[in-house]
Amino acid sequence: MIRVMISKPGLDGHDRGAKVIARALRDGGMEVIYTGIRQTPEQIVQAAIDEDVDILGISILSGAHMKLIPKILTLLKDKGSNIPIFVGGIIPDEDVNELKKMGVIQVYGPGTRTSEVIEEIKRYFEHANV
Amino acid sequence: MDKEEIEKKYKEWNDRTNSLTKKYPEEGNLKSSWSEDVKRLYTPLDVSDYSEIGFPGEYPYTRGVQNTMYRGKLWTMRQYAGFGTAEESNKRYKYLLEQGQSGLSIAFDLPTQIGYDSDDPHSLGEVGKVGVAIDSLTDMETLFEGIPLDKVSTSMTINSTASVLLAMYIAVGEKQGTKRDKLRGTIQNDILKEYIARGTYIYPPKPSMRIITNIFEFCSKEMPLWNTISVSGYHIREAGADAVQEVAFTLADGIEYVKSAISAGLDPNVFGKRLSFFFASHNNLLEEIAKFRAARRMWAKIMKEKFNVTDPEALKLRFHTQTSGSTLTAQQPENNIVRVTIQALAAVLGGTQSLHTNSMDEALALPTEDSVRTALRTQQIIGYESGVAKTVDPLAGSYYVESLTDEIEKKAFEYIKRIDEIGGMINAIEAGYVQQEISNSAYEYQKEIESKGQIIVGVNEFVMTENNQRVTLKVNDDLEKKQIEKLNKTRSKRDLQLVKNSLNKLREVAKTDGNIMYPIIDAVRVYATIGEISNTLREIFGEYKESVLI
Amino acid sequence: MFESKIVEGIKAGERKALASLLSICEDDPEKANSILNSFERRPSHVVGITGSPGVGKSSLINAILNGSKEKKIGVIAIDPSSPFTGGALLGDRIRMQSHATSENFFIRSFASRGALGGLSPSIFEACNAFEAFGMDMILIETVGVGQSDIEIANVADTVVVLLSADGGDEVQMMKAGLMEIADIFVVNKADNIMSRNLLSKLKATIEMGKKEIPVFMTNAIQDEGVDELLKGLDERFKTISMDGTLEQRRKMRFFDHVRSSVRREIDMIMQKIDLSEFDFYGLKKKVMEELCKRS
Repeated sequence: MIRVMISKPGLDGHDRGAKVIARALRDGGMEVIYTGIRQTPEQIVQAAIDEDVDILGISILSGAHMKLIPKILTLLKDKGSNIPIFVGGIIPDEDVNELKKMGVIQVYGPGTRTSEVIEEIKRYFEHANV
Repeated sequence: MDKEEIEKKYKEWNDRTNSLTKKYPEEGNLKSSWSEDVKRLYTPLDVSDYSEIGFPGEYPYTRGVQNTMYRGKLWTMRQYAGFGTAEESNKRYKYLLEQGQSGLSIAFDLPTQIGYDSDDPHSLGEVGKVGVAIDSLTDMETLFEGIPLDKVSTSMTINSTASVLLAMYIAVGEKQGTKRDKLRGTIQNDILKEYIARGTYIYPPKPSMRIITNIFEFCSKEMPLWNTISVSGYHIREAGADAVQEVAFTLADGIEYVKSAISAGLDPNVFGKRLSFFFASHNNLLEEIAKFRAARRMWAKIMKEKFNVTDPEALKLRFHTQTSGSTLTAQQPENNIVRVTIQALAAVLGGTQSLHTNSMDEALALPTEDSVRTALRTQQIIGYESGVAKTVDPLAGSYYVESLTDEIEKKAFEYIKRIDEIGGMINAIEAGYVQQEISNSAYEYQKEIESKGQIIVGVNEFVMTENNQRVTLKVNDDLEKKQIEKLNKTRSKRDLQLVKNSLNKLREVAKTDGNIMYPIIDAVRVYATIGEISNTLREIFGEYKESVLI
Repeated sequence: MFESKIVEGIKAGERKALASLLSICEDDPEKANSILNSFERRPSHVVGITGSPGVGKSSLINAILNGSKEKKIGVIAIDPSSPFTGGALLGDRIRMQSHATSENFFIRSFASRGALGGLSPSIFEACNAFEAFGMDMILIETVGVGQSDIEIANVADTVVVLLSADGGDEVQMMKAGLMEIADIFVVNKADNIMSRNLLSKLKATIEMGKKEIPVFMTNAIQDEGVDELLKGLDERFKTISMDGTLEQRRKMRFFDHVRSSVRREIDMIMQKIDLSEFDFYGLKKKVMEELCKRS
């Protein structure tokens, strides 16, 4: 069973994508913890650790990603957690590369198919188990 | 031919056509966007009585709210803009006014929309990103520097903090020598859709409705030229609702606001004149045109039959349209110019009063100057070159469009009835009914795209590998730092005692049932910040938490 | 995490250790049971919160957390698993997220994974894990399908039944099950005019019955009425700890725990047998044989 957490950090309230992905992952057989909008990085990280999720999905469309995602990554590290992160939303290409260098495992932009996200998450954990 | 003859001939034609389809089958997605079958052919049999269609400028307004529509004056070309600092936004507004735009439309950043100062911990990374950062009157003065408020009409996309921004606009007008009763514009001020779809709420529904009715009362006394609310369907549609739901939930919100104004003692005959609406425009050209017509007819019926409004001006649904952001693709962005053109055309053929057209690069970032100019040109070409503005409501009488108008009206009224049974929109929102409907539509739509039931050109069909080196707008990162410096400067220059007094006065009025606009205006005049004012109200009203519905 | 590290971590109050242990409870309950054996546990007050969907269970729990500055509280929030895909949407945290960083609270979401009665198959192990961690109170939010949610009575020391005037709960209330399992009733959404009505009907119904059940009225979203409820919960825990009720219920819970563990074994056995090979008695004999072998 793969447990995923989907969160929206910062002040952005556009949750259509986050909700669609949450449902799609549920239909893909995963357990999805959805924390809702307006989360601080601290809330997201502590919740992810307490829920012992296998992977954390961050949805962000407001342009604040280069401040909020590094903060989340740092907090996870400080707490000794290595939960992998994927990101969805509006992220310019240069930032995508930056984020991946920081350790984000995948960034999904507009037009991504939910089936792609499900497949990639499943494949990630197959490889991890091998 | 009379109706019976048409019916007979239609049946015969249909039978002949059915045998043809054995050799040339009909294929593809033949359903409306709310999943009803679209008929092969529409005929006079599909059109209802002309009294439902009527004449422009007269009840039930199906054909438009003015007699001459665009023959007298084209729709207002109003491009939503704003980012970063007040200085940069001021430059962009002057540019757009020079290029022929007729009204200003202001986008604010998320901290401003949610009542946080730029140095509040919640504002980290958000300052100036999705719109202009306004911390105090200082920023508002910069924003309108050199722009005469008595010559422009300004639309502000602001909701939870609408009272504060309106107060600041009034204060800027005063400094320019323009009295508040001469100011023209709109504040969005539609909190219900924030709970449903947009998410920039602060306080719970009841106190939020109180603030809104305070604004209604204030404007009806002091600002006769100001539109006090733009009841919005755009965000509801963008969150995933279909066209029918967009109309239904928007008008249901409108009903709630009218109810609220009436219980505050306002006369809907007067108040109704200052209500305006805001819709999206999507790709299905003919559905969208019908949607706008249906909305107009429905609202007129609602105001007349439910609220007994008699003043014809108060029966009119006037609206602004924005082309749909969610239909823009990051893949092959030039295609978006075509999409926006279709969507803009739908809005014009649907009789919109003002229009914002998206730029082609908006799936990737805020638009560049070049892209935004093309978006404006799109409207100008439609207005001056396409000929559609030469007559009023040119698609009336189209068998399909009239049938669609009737169908949308019927289905939307069904939703409104259901919401009524739940006890009104606020109850429906607290129960999560509206959010669930929207979430379901969004999910179904995504499944349609992934199964190729709905083709999106460049995304799930006609795909190509692209060279992604596109020039997009970058918002300067040290902007946050600069804005905070500016804020600190304002804080140091003002008289702190005056600020404290003004906030105390606000607290008093908020606790009782006075009109909070007056203390807020006093507070902004002495440079109280948006965070200070909003936090004062947070103390008293509390904060809203979203429902557990996905 | 290795077993010994988990035991150390739990004893030291490390959240990560508890998080790992709760995962083991779900994925390998027998392993969890063996780990939990090494703990001496002081009983936490296990409070089950049940009621129809939309009645305000998450809001009530959030309000309880708001009002409990001194207590250490664990929250088990359960949502249904899809019978078709096996996946689940766990959204109860949304209402409680302001407490995510609170040192005294630990919130954990569970999917029902096919369990009946609105609970989770590893509910006993999860409760024991929270107890081992030293929680004063454990709040269990059931899935909330109303009528069939009576299994919670076998797990909780106190069953709180939450009702609201807009939940069609008048009819619900009259049905036998709820009356029998409720230890405390709470009428939520006090701001709804119909709530007073519901409250009086409820009190009247209780009068007619044999059991004395305290009733509270709350407006959970506004944190109203919750202090009284908390007092009521504390009083109840004191009382049942002294008058033998707690002991009784713990015994019942212990039996149910064992029963659920044995059922799991039977399920595992039956999954591995080709059921079509046997008739009724043959299969029964086979299962009992396998069960004996495993013990």
